[in-house]
Amino acid sequence: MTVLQRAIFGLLVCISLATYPALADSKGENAEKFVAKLGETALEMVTNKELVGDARRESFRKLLQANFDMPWIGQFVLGKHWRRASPDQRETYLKLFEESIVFTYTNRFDEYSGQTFEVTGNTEADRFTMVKSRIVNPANPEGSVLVDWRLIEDSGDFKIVDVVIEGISMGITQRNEYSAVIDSNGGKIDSLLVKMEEILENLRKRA
Amino acid sequence: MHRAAGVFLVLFLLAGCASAPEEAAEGPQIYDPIEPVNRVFFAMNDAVDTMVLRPTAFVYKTAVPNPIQDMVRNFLQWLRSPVVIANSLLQGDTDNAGSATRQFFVNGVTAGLIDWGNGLGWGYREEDFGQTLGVHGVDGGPYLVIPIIGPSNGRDLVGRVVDIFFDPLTYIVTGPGARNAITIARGTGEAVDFRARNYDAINDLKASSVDYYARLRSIYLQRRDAEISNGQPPKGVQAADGSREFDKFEPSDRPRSVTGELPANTN
Repeated sequence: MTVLQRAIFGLLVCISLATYPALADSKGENAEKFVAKLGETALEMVTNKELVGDARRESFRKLLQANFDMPWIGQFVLGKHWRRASPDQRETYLKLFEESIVFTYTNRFDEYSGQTFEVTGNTEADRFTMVKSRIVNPANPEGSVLVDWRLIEDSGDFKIVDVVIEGISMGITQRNEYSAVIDSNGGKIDSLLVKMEEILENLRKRA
Repeated sequence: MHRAAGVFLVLFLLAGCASAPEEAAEGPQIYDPIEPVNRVFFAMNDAVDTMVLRPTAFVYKTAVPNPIQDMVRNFLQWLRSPVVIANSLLQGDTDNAGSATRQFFVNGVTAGLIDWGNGLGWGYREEDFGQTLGVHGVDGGPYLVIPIIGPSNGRDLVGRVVDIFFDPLTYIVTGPGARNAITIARGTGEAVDFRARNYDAINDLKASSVDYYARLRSIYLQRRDAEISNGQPPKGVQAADGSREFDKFEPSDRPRSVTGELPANTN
């Protein structure tokens, strides 16, 4: 190696050392921070005993809308049927979809028993960033629950598009379920909407 | 020996016809050729859950002190560990086999009632022959709902039968009467323990579904895939759930953008 080569090599190493951590820091780490912050906010909400009823549901809805791309998720879940749906059906569907998520999860707040949340890593997957996390139950440390978050980034902002609990994707589960209802009713989208309305009514009663 | 021969015949047939027709459109490989029959069995199982299992689990989790519940769970897990050891070895996973073996002997000192490794990071993954087959490339085959036992598929049903042969109890306990009694007692114990530990979660799952059958089918198939891959997505597939559904998906009203306008407003 000549002196010049050495100098160039050294320079390259310096540049890569300087830029590489910065790059690694950017997307993946920001995604991790995003999920960690969401976990913190959610935990505060769950443990806040003052927050009940409609107020609880409203703050959960805000959290949901701010952190999840609900229209994206709603479309993904309706799958091939989305294209056939009329504007009215789409609107009703998205409302029912969000509403049922709000009731399903806020109804479960009281089951909380001291679990903690920790983010454990991230991977890039195509246009998505997957953030790995773990919910630890202090009563049973071996039985922690693994949760993966699928994020998309749009001009620096992250939005969650799927949650994968122990390998079970919530989006895919809902999609399979909804398409089963539509397919078994001769492809009628309204049959799903009626069914969703019914279930939502039950969830309201359980609230 | 005839039973073993039968198992291997089924296994052979499964491997042959394992290439289940993929749903061309979307969704994971849900292959449910006898869905009407499955739905009947599912409704029966659900009735058993509502009338027997759920109340039993409720009484169990409310009346039985927690330490006793832990002992029951530890014991049931301990009984399964020889099967875990055998299947870990068949999957070439000597680490998991080692951990399970250690647990088996250490916990064996207290008849499996106390899990001495709890909190020490001594845990091991549950493995069964259905997973072993999956690791070696056997597809799930048709989705099946078995009376009393619940969701399964061709591969996992074969796995259940083969696991009987890996279980030392099969050879220790003689006489079909005693063997059946043990199988039933164990199955019941596992069902009550599982239902009790997931009591609220299962109730909520049921209450919030528009099609409970389809929901559990999806969950079962995804969960088994995750167990087979031990939570690691297969090579080349980036999704944590091992599917490519998200890679392919584009919101129809904003094809070139990842977010964009709300769909409800664009129509």
